[in-house]
Amino acid sequence: MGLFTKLLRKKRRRVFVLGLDGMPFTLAQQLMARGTMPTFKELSEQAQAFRSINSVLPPVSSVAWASFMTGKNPGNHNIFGFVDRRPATLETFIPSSADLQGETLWEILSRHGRRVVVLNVPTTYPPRRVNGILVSGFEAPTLEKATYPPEVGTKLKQMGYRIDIDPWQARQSRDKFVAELWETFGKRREALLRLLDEEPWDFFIAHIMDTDRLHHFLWRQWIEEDPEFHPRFAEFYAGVDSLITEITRRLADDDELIILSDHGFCTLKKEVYLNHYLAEHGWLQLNEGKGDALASLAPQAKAYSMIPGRIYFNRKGRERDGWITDSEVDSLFAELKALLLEMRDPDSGEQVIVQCFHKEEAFTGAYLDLAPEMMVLPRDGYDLKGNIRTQGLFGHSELVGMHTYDNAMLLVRNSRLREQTACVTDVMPTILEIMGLPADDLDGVSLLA
Amino acid sequence: MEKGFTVWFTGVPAAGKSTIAKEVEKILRSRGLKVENLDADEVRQNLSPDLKWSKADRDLNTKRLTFMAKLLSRNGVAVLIAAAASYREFRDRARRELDNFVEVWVKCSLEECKRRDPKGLYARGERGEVNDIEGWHQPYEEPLNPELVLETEKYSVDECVAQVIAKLEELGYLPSADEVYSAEEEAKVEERLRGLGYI
Repeated sequence: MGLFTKLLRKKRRRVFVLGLDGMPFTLAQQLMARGTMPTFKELSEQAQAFRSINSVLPPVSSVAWASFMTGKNPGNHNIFGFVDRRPATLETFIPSSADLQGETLWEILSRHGRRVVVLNVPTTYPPRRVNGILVSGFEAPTLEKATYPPEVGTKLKQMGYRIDIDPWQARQSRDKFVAELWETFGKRREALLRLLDEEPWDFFIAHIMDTDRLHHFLWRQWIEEDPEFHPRFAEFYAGVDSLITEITRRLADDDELIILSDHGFCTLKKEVYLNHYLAEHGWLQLNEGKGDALASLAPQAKAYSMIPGRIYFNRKGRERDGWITDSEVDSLFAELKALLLEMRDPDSGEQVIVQCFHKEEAFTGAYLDLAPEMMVLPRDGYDLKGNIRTQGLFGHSELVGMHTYDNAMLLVRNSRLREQTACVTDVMPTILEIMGLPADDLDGVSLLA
Repeated sequence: MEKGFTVWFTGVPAAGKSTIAKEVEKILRSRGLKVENLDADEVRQNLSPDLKWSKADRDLNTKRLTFMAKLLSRNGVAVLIAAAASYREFRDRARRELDNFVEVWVKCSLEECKRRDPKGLYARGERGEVNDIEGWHQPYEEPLNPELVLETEKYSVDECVAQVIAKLEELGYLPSADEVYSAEEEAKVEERLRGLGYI
């Protein structure tokens, strides 16, 4: 290596991102205060920035991480949820990285000759080519298909790496869930540290999905201080703290370390079936005998909802039998908003829906046409579902935690940030600026002071 | 290494070649391909500033474009070229020399091109300042068997871009977005998402 290249390489700032899916800022504070996460506590005290940030609309991991990796809003990156529909047929599908529009952070870095390692980030399946290694997140069907280059998948398989836990087993037994969660997290930790030890990198992102899983299945037990599972919840975070210790040991002092979560969490009180509400009030009609599929939407329907809180009008020229014209949208929006804000939980009397956004308030960009006409945010505790046919408006399941739009978390170790409200989308331009690269055409803005 | 290919957007000035090529470029990049968009005007400025608009000069410029496309595409790059290449023999030569060659005729009537005229070229023609516009003063030999014809007066830019992407998928140069999951895999992932309460 020539002197010039050496100097150039030395000047390059490396960035490591640890993604802790769904870890609320306030939970981090609580765990630090009770001594569960000593390394994280020390880090947060020394860090230039440690604060809560907002998620995106809708606050689900596939959309939030798509916004993180592109620095764009869903209207520009085209990922609006874990499930979407082809309006012309009303058939549903799982959006993937093939639907994700725009260059990702790691593709931009690759283009500038930086070497990247990307581990387990949602919405990266199928793996797109990078200068380095990419292991897709939990939407990958098999490990064999999850990696770029493909041989990495073989190595991970030999290690016993697991993409995700089995949620159906988790629903049956909390004990088995906790055991499986540790096993999955253990393998993830092993793969992460091995990649960190063996691979050269300029940018490294490791995403821990397991925290989100912990919250979905044990959040209520944590909050209500369940004698058995409250301590086990905390134990898991002690494990996360030990991973942070191992990571920081492997980083140089001037490597930037960012710890990021993509949404907050709260206790799930009730599931809310918005389509049931729409049907009850004459907004949604279904053809008989076609099961729980969106394709059973009857032509006269005015609106339908997809998880979570996305409400689409049956638009002329877009939906299969659409008839609502552009000029009718605003008055229908106002009418439906009033109807939704009236919804009450019969047990508590609480208002269920607290905010309704017009599509133009929530999104901008080239894919606006495909976006829902209305984005709805519930009161914490009411999880908005997209089931087509249900017996009632409210229900329960084994899931006891749900996402929130606010209370996601951002820690930046070395770089000073401006004091301002920020969201997940702003992190990518911040990283580009830290790495000395231009951020063009993004919706997010760099937070560097 | 993935196989490279070359998409040559041919057509008269202001037909929409560069506009469509730029949009196709974005999508190919977003699908993880290495892409080089060889814009004829840029290449001329940088590599052939000496060349004018005679048939011989146009011939030489097309040769240079073809050669660059050959170097890039054999190294796995998806090459896009927006250049009139107004003589059939120019394009036929490119077809012979390039593996995985896709000729796309960006079609538009002279009247509509004069109306669009983004670079003011036709206006200069009307004023008699230039007399070498393909399809007006000079011949534009329409493709006989292009892989794709884009009717830019009938379809929007987005629709034309979608047609190009569909053609590349059909030809096997671009993995189809629908093949992300087999039916069995999709059912498996859906079940996982349902278990998590995500769908």
